[in-house]
Amino acid sequence: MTEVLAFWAASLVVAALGLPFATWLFRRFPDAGAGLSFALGLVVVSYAYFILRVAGVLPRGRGGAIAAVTIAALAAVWFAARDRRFVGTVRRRAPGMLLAVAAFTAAFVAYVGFRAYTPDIAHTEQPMDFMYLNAAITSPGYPPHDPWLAGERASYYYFGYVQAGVLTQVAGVAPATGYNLALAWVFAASAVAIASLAAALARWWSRVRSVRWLAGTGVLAVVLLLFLGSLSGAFEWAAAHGYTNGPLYRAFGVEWLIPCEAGQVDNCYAGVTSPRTTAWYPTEFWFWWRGSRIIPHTITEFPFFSFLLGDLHPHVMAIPGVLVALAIAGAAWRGRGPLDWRTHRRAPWAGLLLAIVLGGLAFTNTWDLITFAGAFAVAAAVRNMRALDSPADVLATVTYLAPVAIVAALLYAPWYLDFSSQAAGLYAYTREGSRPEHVFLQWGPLLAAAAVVGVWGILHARENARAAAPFTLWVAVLPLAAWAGLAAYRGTLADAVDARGAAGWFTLGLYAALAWALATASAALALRRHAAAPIAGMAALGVLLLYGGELLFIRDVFFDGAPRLNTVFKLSYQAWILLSVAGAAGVAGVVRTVRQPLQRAMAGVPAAVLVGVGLAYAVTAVPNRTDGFEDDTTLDGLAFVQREAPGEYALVEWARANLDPSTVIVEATGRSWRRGEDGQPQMTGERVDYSDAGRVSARTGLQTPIGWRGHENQWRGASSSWQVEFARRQDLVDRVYTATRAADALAALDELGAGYVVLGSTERSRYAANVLPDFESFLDVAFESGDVRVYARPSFEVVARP
Amino acid sequence: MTARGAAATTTAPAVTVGALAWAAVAAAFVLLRLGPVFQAPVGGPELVHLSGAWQASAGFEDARFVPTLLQAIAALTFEWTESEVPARLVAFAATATVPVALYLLRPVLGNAGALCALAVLAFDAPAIALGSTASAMGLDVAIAAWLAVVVLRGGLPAPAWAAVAFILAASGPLALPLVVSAAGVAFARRDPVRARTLAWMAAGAALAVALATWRYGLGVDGLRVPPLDLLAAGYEERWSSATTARLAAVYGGPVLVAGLAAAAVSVVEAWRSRRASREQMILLAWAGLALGWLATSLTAHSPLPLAAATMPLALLLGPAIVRAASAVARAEWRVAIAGLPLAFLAFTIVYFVLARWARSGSRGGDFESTLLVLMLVMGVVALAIVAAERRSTPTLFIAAGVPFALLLVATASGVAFSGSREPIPSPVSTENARMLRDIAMAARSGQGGLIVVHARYRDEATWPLRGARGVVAASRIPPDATVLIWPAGTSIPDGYSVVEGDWSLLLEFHPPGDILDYVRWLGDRTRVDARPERIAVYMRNAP
Repeated sequence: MTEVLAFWAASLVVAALGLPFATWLFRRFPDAGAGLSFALGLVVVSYAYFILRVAGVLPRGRGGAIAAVTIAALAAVWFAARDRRFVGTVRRRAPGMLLAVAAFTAAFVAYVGFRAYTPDIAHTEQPMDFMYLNAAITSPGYPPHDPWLAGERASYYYFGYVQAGVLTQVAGVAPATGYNLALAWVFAASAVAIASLAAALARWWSRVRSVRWLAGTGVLAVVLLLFLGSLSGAFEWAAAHGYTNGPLYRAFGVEWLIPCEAGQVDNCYAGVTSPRTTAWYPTEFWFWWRGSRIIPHTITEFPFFSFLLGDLHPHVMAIPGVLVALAIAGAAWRGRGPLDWRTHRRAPWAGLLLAIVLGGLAFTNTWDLITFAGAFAVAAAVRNMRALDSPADVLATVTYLAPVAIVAALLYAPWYLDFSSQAAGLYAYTREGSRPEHVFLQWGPLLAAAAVVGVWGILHARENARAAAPFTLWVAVLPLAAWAGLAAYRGTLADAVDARGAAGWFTLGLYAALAWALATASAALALRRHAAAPIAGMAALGVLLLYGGELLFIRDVFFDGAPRLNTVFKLSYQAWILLSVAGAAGVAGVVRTVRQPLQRAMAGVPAAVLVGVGLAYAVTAVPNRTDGFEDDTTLDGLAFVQREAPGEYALVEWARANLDPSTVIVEATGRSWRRGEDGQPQMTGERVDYSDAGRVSARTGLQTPIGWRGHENQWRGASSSWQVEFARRQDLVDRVYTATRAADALAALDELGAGYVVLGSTERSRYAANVLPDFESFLDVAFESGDVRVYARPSFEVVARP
Repeated sequence: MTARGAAATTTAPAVTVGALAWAAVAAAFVLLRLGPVFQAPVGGPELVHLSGAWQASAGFEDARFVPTLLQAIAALTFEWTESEVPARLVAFAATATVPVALYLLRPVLGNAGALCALAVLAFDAPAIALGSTASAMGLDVAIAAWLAVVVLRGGLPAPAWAAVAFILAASGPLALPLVVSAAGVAFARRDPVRARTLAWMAAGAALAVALATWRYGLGVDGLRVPPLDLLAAGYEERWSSATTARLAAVYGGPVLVAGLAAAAVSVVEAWRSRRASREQMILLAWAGLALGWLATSLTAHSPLPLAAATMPLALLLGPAIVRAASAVARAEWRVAIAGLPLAFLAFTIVYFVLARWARSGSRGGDFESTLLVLMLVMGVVALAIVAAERRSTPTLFIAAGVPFALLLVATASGVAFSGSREPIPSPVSTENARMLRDIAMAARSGQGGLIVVHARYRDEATWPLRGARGVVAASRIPPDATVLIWPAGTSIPDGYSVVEGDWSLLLEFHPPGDILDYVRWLGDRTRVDARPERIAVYMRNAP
């Protein structure tokens, strides 16, 4: 409880110092941006922490984080003092601000309550997330070291972990608890950010000042973003209770729920059939996982799934910041007067703030930079088109955006210098396309809401739509042309046309039509200077991202097996955010604007029904994930270790308290060894990634020679030099655990620069007892608890000369 | 007497009561800090930092050497002495100027207000320990006080800001809340700051950081900003056996409670009048930040945040005490003349009952319990009756002030005079550890070889073994070891014999755990929970 309160209080302090920046950026928002100040404040504080630690000014630990908060607070006071309207804005918008604080608190507490039933940092990529969080907190130098590759700095987009680490340290909670509380923070900050943004967009459109209606719009946005799930959830629910109508299920593409027929093994249900569940909700283990893998060979994750699963991943932690970027774009679109280099001359610190926020997108989740910084660029361009004639508007836009981009690149240069992207070029997707029923299952409610906005926009500005349509057609045509060009360039165009299949082409047509319609609506409304234009624009961008995922992909390590896996994953996640904002603001605006009850019903009812069905996923998945809320509660992500392996838990506590953060420890790499018949140690297997390899370094932030090798491949690129280095390190670690002579083990430790050797349950399971050397004969026992030991190299240090 | 002679008589300098009071309080301030300079054991942060300074003076790399100005001076003194006293005298000399700083704050706090603030500071136990010992933060109390003069009175020429910035950047973090609050208020008020002043400040701070980074001649090992390094270390290191929360409960209670009340009144008044002077804003912001520091440090093991919080609270409390005294003087005493003595009598009986229980170590029988409850009720009712009469209410300040003053004097005298048995400072280096050094050196001079300290005690042994030659910290026994300082309970190594005695390098004092312990401790400060960390000492058998 104390930890929750401390984290919540730290969140409010950080939000308070973000308020002056938020009110300056979002003065026209109903809450003056208070809902966005949580994310904005944390970005500012975390950037200060990051850059001052890189500079060596701030020390490691809680004091450094608190000093960063203090410095950011001084900047906030300075900023507020220069904003003559700050005090007036705060007074005027106080109700909205209080509502934002209350909403944040409610969302934070609610998620903490949920997470307390599933706190374990145990599965999927959670050990990796925890490793980066610990690295951000404990790394002796900055940029932070990579605990899974001793001696190297992290090569990943880890700003989210820095943010979570700052909050964890300021609150003074243990990292294993901070992990779960940081998830709650992301959930709550996302909720208030999208509510603030959607309410602002809806209010600009309808000019309604009713707090109840604005709050309702915010709630709808929160529901769409954070609670809506795949429509497959409704089918899962029905199937769990035995309702599996074959034709219906096939029509909706959920064949995997239909019991397998004799001889059938793929794409059908092969589990227990009578009954499938023992409760009112599906009790099959993690049934909800399938909802994030609807389209074959892709990941179609969405925010509710992310928060249900509880992986503290960059794309999840990026949500609040992305919403801030979208809000900045919305505010830029809505504002008056041209934006050019003079704008920066008048308010250089505001430009710096933009560079910190927008530049931080890449550092948090690199995929977001192009999309959301692009949205801001479009908004600035639209505003200049309104204010200036051509080509002055183009020149103004360039002179406004270029300094922001350059400063952003400079501000984050320490990260860029260490970051090596795995992206290896843009490719045309030439395999089977997505089936429309899967698209419907996954994005049906959001696309329906977007369609409502598009239809209303076109009908509302018919004349302008007619004029704009030929131009906006390019929005649909250009990606297709790019696809065709890239496919032709690689000589696969003809095959690609066939491979996509009829269903794939139908989906493509659907996306193209919707993107065109929404782009047309946005342009037409913009020509009429209607406030709904940015809403339609966001919806168009969202659909374009889904469209893009059907046509193109970024080549990465998954190229051979599932080439577009990451592209669809990242782009559809962005689309979900965009469509949630646009859908909530759009539907609220349309319902408010349309006078006739029939038209209002036509606009609202289908979307409402689809959203209602989409909520079935959340309603059933939450009790499944928490085992019906029957387990004990805790927020310690390592409580399961304490329960199941107390020695391992004690080891983590001891290491955190006693070892210098720059210490290198040797632990199992994932390879297994036994003694062969010839008496020599033999490797019998290798299971590295998604295993307990590197567990101590992940749980403490200390460095180990090599952790999850496959992930290091992803982060650093699978170059031959890295492959050699990874293998060398694995060999050396194996030599430590299988050495027949003490000198060999010590030589391997020397080469690895390691001072400690872990011998816990993992090492005992990977290295047979008869290959393990007698460590005690040449190393000191530094820690012992049960069968877990840590050996240290004997020390000898002259502290007073003879 | 001639007229001329009469005039001369009337203009002769007179010793006023105020001057006497200033002299008395200043003397108390200085004297309370003089004792610890010579008799306080080396412990808490001082033990860590003097060990670091010693190693630095001996030319060893040591993370405990945080290059503040006082650490550098301490390292310098170790070139010609093994004693901590010269370094402490430097800290003491600086701290002894605090009464002058408070005297100069009279225009801000009022004459009586500044005097009362000085009185509170004089008896502030954490500040006594900090200002009279040679930790890296030994100059901080003086620096914070003088910075308050500079900030609150202003008028410093631009070049002087270089010196201010230099001293701040070369010292500990105690003054940081004041620096931040002064900057914040200047920002909020949009006070003009001249570029020249900023340039001088930047130059001064840069020089200090450069010297610290160079570690005053020891070599460069990354950028060093001592105030920030020590701020962070306060959260991580074990500078106290007890947590900051427990230290605050035992030593900071009176100043924290009364100071918070004074701050709250100040805030309410400013809110009601919609007006706050620059000085008031700075003092309140300073107190707020320092309290924030204290709040975030409650689970840490450092007395520093407590001293940082009590300082601004004392400055707020000084004028508040004057106002309270004035209100008491104007109050109607008709009810209070009976009510207050009755309450005092009741609470005194309560105290004696509790003290009896504390001495016997158990709660008394029904009679005593009933008496305790009755006296408590009687005391509260008596105070309530006084409070009910509006014109008598201010006399309640006396009811609050008496225990406030008693507790303040008790804690201050404990730290200043009780020598070596207070939780501030703790843990302390033991006397017998020093004896151990002499034994080890004698053995080494006879047999040669090494004095070997187990690696676990590397840091603890530095200070007591200072001056010894041929000392190594090792996890295994080297072949040429003569004396072993080893964990207790280990078997006697072959070829060695035990040096008999209750040896320990460190002794921890823990504050009382419950109310009875606390009451007993108030009456007898020597009865404190002391926990030595036992070690074994082995000596190589003579060939």
